[in-house]
Amino acid sequence: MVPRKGVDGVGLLLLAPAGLLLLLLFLAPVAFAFYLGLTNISLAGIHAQHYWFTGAANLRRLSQDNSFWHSLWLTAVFLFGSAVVGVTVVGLALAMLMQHAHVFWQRLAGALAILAWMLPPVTAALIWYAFSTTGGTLSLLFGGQADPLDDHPMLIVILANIWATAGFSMMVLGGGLRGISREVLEAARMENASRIQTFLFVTLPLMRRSLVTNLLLVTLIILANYALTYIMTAGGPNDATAILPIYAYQQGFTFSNLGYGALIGDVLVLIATGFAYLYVRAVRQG
Amino acid sequence: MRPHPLATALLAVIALLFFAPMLWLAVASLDAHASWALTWPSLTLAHFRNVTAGDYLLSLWNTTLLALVATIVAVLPGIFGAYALSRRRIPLRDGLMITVLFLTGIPVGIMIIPVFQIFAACGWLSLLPTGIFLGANSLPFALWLIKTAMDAVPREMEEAALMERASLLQTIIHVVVPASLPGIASAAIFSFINAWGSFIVPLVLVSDPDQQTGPLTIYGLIAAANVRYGDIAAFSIIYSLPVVILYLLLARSFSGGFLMGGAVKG
Repeated sequence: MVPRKGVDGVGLLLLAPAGLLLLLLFLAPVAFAFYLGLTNISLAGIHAQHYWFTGAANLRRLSQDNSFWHSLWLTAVFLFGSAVVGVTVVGLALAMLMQHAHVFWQRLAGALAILAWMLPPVTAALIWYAFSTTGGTLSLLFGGQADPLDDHPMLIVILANIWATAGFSMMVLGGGLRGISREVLEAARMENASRIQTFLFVTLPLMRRSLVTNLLLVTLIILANYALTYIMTAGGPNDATAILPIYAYQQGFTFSNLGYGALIGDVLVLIATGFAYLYVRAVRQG
Repeated sequence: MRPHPLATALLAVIALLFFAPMLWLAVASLDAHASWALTWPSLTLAHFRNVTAGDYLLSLWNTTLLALVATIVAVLPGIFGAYALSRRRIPLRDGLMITVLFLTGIPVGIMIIPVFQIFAACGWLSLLPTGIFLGANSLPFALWLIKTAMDAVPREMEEAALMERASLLQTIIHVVVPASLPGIASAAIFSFINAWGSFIVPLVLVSDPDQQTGPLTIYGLIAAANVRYGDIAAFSIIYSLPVVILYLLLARSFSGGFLMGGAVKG
């Protein structure tokens, strides 16, 4: 059926539709973004139709743009808080507690965390906006007049992202935990290891691979899901939550600087590429 | 193992923290005097009646159309492409599979500016091309899932069919596809949910107000001068329901299916 030698025309023909779609609607836009990032194209005005290559002009602008560097810093804080601290710790805590808690609470906590993960981004954003704005449930806890979303925007946005993603990480890490054999844990107990010692010196090292893969995947998921943040704050107040994808969007579509916005998008593509590369490496080691 | 009281208590607190924000959505959707505040509701179904008519229904219909187009675009090329990658002699196959895995990690939403420019130049700023774009967005993960499923199908089945003089196309459709259905269904549901939930992509790529999708309707309602709290809550529930049902279906029929969320949402 499959020719032993030469070109397998039928095979290539079967692959062609998928290959063309990926080439035209995935790889071509990325390549085009790197070109646009070095032009003076704008959303409206004379540079909307007639734009040209401006060489390193946008790059110079980028290097001197304090808003960009601030945004890069916000992105680092945001990703560290939501992916590293939040989702990994909360996800692991959930997965571990699930193994030791009463079955009723296991089911309930699992169902709620998974429901929060399943909800579409706009619904999660609405829920958290209502929860954290003036008069919302959270502000009632602080007396009703507070506006937590306005007072601590980055913290609230990070909490919302943790809330929306921890269920996923709970499932991944729960799978990893179930993969640890009972004999190993029994052996640790026989050696009189405390619960904390067992966790630190047996469970964590055995979980290393799932933890790393999960962390990289969650980072990419949260980076992609910036709609959640955008709907809650639109990057505000005063750019306090203007993480890179939001800053790129604002430059392109709010300030009409499509070329410069594309360049900021390129920085994001490079960052995502770095994480995706590490992710592929982590998966293939398994 | 016996349940540990401290673990149970901690988990109960976490469960409460997950539940607290959701409570408002349910209560406000049924409250005649809804606001952002969580209050005891004066029960009414008026909000659900309001949002199951007119423009609300239109935006749900648009969302359905967008998600269906994306699903078809991801799954059909996905099936044939995955078959080629699983069974045929494709040059650089390993490299291609690594590229596919790599692309599942690249969030397409961050390339929105070049895609907007291409679509604007071609006059494609409408629902159908946006669905095709979102389908291409889900294609790498669909390829990965379907190929993994097809790799597990024994070759003897299709060899027998080919012996019986079935064409390659017939063999794929009648033998390989049914045998790898769980993987294909996961890919279809993932693509559907991905397009159903996407916000930034239709925000930028769909220009006609009559083609607005559900997420944009909700966003417009939050930003409106006179916020209709109850209507937003009720509409969000109706809009979110299909996604929850699809996830549950997936989890029920295919164990471990939840992990299909493993690709990055746009």
